[in-house]
Amino acid sequence: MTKKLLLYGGGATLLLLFSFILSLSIGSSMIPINDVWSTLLGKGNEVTEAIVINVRLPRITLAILVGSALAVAGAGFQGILRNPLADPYILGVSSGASVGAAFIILFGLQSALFGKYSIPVVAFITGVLTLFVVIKIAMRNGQLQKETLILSGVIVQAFLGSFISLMVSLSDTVLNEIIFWMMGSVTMRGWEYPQMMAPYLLIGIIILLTQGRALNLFALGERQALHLGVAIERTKMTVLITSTLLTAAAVSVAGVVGFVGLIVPHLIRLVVGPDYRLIIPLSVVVGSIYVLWADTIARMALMPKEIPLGVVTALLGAPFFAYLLKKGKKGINL
Amino acid sequence: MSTTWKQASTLVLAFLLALFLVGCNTGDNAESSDKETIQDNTTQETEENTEESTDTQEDKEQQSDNQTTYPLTVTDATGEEVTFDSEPTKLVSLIPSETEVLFALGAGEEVLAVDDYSDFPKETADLPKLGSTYSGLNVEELIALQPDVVFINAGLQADVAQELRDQGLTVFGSNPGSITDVIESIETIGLILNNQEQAEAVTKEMTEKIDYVKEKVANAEPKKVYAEFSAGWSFGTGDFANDLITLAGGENIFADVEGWFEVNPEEVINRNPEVILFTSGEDGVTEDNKEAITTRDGFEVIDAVKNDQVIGIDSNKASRVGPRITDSLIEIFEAIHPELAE
Repeated sequence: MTKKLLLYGGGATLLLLFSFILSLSIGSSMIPINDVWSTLLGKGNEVTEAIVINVRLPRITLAILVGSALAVAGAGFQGILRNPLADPYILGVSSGASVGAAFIILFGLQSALFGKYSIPVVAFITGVLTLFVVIKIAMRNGQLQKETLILSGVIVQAFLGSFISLMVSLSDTVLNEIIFWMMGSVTMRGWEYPQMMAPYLLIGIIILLTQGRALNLFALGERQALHLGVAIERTKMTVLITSTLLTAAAVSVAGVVGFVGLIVPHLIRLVVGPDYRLIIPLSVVVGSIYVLWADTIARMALMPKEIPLGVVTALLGAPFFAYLLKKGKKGINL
Repeated sequence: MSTTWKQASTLVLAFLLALFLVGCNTGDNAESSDKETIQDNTTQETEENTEESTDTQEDKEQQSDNQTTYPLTVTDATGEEVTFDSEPTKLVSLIPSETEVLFALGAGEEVLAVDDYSDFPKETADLPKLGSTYSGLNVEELIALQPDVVFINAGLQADVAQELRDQGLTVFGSNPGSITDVIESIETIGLILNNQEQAEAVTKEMTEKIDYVKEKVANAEPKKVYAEFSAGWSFGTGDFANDLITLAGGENIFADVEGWFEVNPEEVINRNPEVILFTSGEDGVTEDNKEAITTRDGFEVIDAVKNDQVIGIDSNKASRVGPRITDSLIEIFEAIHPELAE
């Protein structure tokens, strides 16, 4: 196991480092790679410095943070719900966060409540509140059945979804900011957003890393896990709440970036097998590579235009995943 | 996310995208130049009118010449021949620009109802609202009003025109692609409403404003302009506002792109605009909007930000292809060339 982790983990980390350097070096303004590097070393002119250090670097950083948060949260949800369709948004966190963001946008409160952090702070709060509502609905005699939990998530999501649609229809701008917010983006966020998100990410990842063994036993079924000494209700709550916090942190700064949390854990499972002690740490790295590249494409493909990040993640991810699924079908069960 | 919500949001999204693609692409449309050809015997009359009108205004014969003869047939921007048997007096407008035209032509009293977005002039506040193309029109109420003619924008509301015509209503759609088209369109509506004199007065004032700006910028070096009319979004050619910027002595830094798009901030910094225009709502969020742009990371090196040339303009005036479009032109001119404005 440790050998496998070192091998795959090391490989993935190298790939992330390589991606980071490459993505930082290329951009829509035609700045030669040499200039990018002299700028990073503090020898660039004012314009390249503004572009590389103030625009591109924080954006890449945020893409990496969002990707790792969503992927690891997806792994957590899939493990605890033992459902291959589980993704970070399955319990309505994204809808909850979107309601908060849509409310702020609809009433033009972007800078009224918490300065420039109004959207992320409110979206985070409403996203986390949603989880508590979902759990409250699903709780029976102090226990959470996974089927009830998923159903309760679907119901709350449908309710909040219609609420968002209502706000979209009430919004009187042709260029609907609410919809574009929901399609996800990491552009024009500056350094504050990554800074805001980093502590949640760090704590969340550390907590989930300790749950790998319990999640492996969960895969056998809750009763078996109980017999093998897992405190199932406590594990469930820990993983659910941690994954939710991670998701809410990602959604509140970047909008709803789809597909990452669903496919990255599956992708890793296809390659290394169903061991959560590997899936969780690898999700952190592979998720960040995935979103980093998706965002690089989003800013480069149609320059000077931007493509919504959520569009790219799904557009790239779905066919790639279908291919892997087809190729790796033999013997591997999702 | 559940599939239903995803689908629903995709639909809404696709719909809105389609809407503003149609809306912003006015430049390409076959009908875009708003060539309402005037048929029947009125053709000659109008031509005479325009010629004579430059002479004396007080002439008595002129008064009777300024009367429209019915039945009148005009071809609108949807390509439909619209016939008016008599002077229309029960009017409905489903788009703010046309509402503004009707009021400017002095036909405000005859307007029975407008769409939700029509909010100028302030008399519109008392009129019944019929919804909007985006959130749905109240077609039943519209039919119940039995209007003589419904005014729409053929670029944004071609489907609406068809639907209402199927219901037996008379619909007139305009779709101006340039300032000259707006003036022509106002003249045509003046003809339809038998308000030709007012139309003349309105268009004369508009032409004067255009000439004023043209004269001022004739020898001025065009300044590089970045326009952000919605947070993080800009536009290139094909949008009306792009033409306004050019007319006002500016040069859109994204003139190489077509239509509206979410902008890559690196490219704004790289193209270093001398002036940044943003729109400010009526609710006084101007300073916030300005700050959102000037404090954006990396933007501090842009000339416009360094020299405090980040200026708010009225979004309604700039986006509505009605009589106030020339006011917007002046506003944009004064923003781009404050040194030339008095």
